[in-house]
Amino acid sequence: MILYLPVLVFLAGLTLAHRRSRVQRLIGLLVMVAGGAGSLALVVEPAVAAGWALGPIAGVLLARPVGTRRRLAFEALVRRSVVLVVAILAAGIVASKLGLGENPWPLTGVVWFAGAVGLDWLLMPLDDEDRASGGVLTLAGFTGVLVLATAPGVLTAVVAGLAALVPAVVSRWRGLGAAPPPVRAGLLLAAGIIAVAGISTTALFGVSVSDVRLSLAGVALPGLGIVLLAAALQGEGWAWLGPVAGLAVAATSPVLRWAALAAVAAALPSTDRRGQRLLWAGIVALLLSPVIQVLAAAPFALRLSPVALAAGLALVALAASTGPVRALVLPAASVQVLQAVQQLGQAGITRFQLAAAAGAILLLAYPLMVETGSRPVRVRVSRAVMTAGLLMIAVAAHDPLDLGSVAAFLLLIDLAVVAPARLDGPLGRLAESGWPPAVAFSGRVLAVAAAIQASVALGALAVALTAGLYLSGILSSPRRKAAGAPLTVSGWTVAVVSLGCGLAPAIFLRMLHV
Amino acid sequence: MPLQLQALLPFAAIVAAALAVRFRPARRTNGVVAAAGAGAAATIALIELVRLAPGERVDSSYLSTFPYAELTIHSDALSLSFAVVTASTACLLMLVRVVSRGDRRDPWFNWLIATAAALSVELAGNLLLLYVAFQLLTLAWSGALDEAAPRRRWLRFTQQASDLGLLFVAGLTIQSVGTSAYSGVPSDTIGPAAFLVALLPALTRIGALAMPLSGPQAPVLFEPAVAWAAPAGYLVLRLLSLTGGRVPTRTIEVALFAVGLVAAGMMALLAAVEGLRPSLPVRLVTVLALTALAISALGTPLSTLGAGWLWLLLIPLTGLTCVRLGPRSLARVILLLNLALVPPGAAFIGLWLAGQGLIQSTVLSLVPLALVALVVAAGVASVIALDEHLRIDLPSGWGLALLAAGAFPGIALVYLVAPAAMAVRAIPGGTFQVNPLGITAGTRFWPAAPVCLAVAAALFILLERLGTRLPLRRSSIDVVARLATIRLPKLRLHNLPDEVTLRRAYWAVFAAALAAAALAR
Repeated sequence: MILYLPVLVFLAGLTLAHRRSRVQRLIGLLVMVAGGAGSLALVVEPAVAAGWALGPIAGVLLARPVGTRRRLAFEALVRRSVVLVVAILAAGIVASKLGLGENPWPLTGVVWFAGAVGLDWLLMPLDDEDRASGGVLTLAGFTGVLVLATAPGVLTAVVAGLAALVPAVVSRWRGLGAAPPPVRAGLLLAAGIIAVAGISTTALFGVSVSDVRLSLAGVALPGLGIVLLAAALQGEGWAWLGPVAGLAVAATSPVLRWAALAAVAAALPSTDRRGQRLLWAGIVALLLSPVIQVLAAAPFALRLSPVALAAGLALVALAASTGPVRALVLPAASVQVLQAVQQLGQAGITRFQLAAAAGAILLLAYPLMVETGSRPVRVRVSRAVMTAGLLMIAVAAHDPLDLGSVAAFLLLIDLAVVAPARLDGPLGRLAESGWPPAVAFSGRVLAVAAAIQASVALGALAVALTAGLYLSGILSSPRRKAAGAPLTVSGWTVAVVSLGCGLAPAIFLRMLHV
Repeated sequence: MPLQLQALLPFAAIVAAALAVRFRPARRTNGVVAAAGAGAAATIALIELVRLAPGERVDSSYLSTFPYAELTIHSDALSLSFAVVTASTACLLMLVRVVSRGDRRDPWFNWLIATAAALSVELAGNLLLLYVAFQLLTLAWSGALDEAAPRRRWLRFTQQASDLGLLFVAGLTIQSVGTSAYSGVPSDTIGPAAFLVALLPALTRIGALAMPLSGPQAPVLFEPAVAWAAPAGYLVLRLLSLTGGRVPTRTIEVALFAVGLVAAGMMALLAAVEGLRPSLPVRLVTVLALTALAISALGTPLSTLGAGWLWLLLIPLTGLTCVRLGPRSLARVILLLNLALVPPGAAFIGLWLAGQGLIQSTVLSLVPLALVALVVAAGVASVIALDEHLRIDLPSGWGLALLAAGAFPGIALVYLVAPAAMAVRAIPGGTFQVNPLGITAGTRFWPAAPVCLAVAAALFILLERLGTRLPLRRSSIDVVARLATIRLPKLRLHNLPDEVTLRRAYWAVFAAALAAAALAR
């Protein structure tokens, strides 16, 4: 009977939190977290469960509900309830298929339920309180799933749980405002140090605190540099999230990596509902990949895990066509996928390539579906999406010469650092164009070359995407003559990074120690 | 001087001139400075070519900026021959622009940069670098730093998209042998399909040559000769050199020869029926390029020599068609004579050499080649005319020099064409000999000098005696206008599914593809 107690506690908390306001809702949310912690305590270890619960409890308290809930009409109430029930049922089915040992699935399913409910509130919020508590629950629930699957140490569980605090903090203080120049300069300096260290030394370094380990080996080093650079050049006040996105790249534990990625995604403002759904669909797919690897039966794990990785990256790329999601989430997700692909076997890589090709075709066809916005906006979105398609192919290439990784980094710089900037003057225009020696050009060239290393069909797809990018270039609106405004420090940085990386992409091979 | 430094000298000359004109804008002497820069580059390339031993090639590597594609200058006879002719043509175009009137723009910097980009195409040391150089060249001639700039954007897009074929082949060679360097690619690396894909950049540039429906609007156009004709010819011969001097399969050889000659024939026919129009030289230049392409497909040593002659000749001839000639300029007559594929035109030498190769293999193939030449000759004969007050100017001298090259082909053949052809494939000793009167290929002798002089004299007398024009002239048929009246049916999109259905289908296909990826064995 005690094995079913957590799920009963969770459902009681859900009932309380779903329609009640203020203190009752707060209590309901805390009870839901307690249900999840109970489940982890029984399955993994009480200390780990307690450590994990710290973050969600703090998050719930920080995003505490203070207002009265809006009363819904009957149809709306039924619709919301049906969606919630369907989400819980879906989570239950997944939990039953991905059981852990001899444990009954309702016990392990509590964290799945928490994630599903949080996702429902996050994507279909009734109000801001719903969105805030939804973010906390989503992170808590799905990091709980990862804790369940990987059984990490206490400190890792604590840090993963604390990720649930990030959206609550951002929601509480409205994005913390624009990051002051010293913070951005610090991030820029850190990115520079990483680049110099990567080029000049072959000694790989990592930091360990108890069971939390950060490593800059392999693709993590340039990946971290790109994430920090993109965060530093964000003009919209999201530079604060740079270190969190950096954690998503540098952490070795899959729990921490996913938790940090999801925390950044949850903290960023929702641009449009469709984009938000795509983004979370992608992030959940990325979560499923390591979970399936551990919990599913061997043949299914080998088949589904690479497909989930590719689908996740494709969906994140679709969602990241504009805004800060492209600058912070896409690089972190891409580097995570690069790291994961390098650990796949040959069969897994072939399967990943098939799924990535499907994703790239999806992205290539996406411009046909873009009907909103003016023509320049549509062209810009199409261009970003097709570049992301090329990025997928580069990641999938996994060629022995490592051209794919180099191409992926170059395309990430184009997407996350160069494309958001609007540069004036001949140098700036060259830097953000697709002509040599801009980074976009080098990225495209190396992506095609890398794809051919994998297969001729993948190479042909890369060529088609590159031709599409050329077409989008000539279809976009001509830029007005520069008004004579000089490049700012950010503009100069972007131009130098674009032209430097475009002129000498081989430096990335050195950073990768190939 | 170190070889690495020597290889940079042509670029250094052009860049120095470009900097000089950049920092002293709107000076009257800028044109002379620019022409001097291009001329110096041509001279340096010529000296390097003359100093090169037969079959020698020098790879000067500088940096590894691109993975598996070092920044390398490849100096062999093929590269240097094209560099000499391209830079010389650029220099001549600049000189003509200096003395011409009616255009107050200051194009020198852009022209110098375009010349440098064309040289970088011709001196690039590997296929990946060649692709990058092609892109730089497109940027240089279009000047469209803003990709959406409306000026000739579709032409730009076509060239960029077709250049991807070259990138594809570069990727294939890297995959096969770990490098795309010319000196590291075995001759069987590039297969039939890859060869055709790699030809696409050349084909689009030949197509660009055929595009203008009128003569040059400005006094001098720069890009057709330097940015389109020169890279197209160079690319075809370079690809042949990478495949051992002949196209990969017999089928492609026949197909390329047939398609090239049919296209050349159609273009020649169009030129003949259109008659005297400003577009006539453009049409004839295209015929020449297509004929050169067809001859390039033949795998004999003599046809390689002939193709080399035609491709190298194409560059200055295209340059001459890009000059807006006055109504009484002698250059107009000389240009038409040069473009006719019969004596005394310089192009005939290439045809004759290729013909000797065909006689040795398949005599029947000579028939379409001869037909094309006849149609072109008839077209030229129908429009050629002598004015009583002909003016001799700089373009006339340029055209006369080309005519002289046809009459006395020995120098150009020995110092430019033969070394280039030997870089493409092995040319056995005794394949051809030259003497002041003409050339000998195999057992046949072509008395180029006497024949050219005799035909030119006869032509002059005929034109004088027959009222300044030959009797072949006929009223032109406005084929283009007729073609323009044909209306293609409009595509109707009424029956396409609505947006929601499309979106659902889109996601359903994606899900199905993922499922297939998961279930695939």
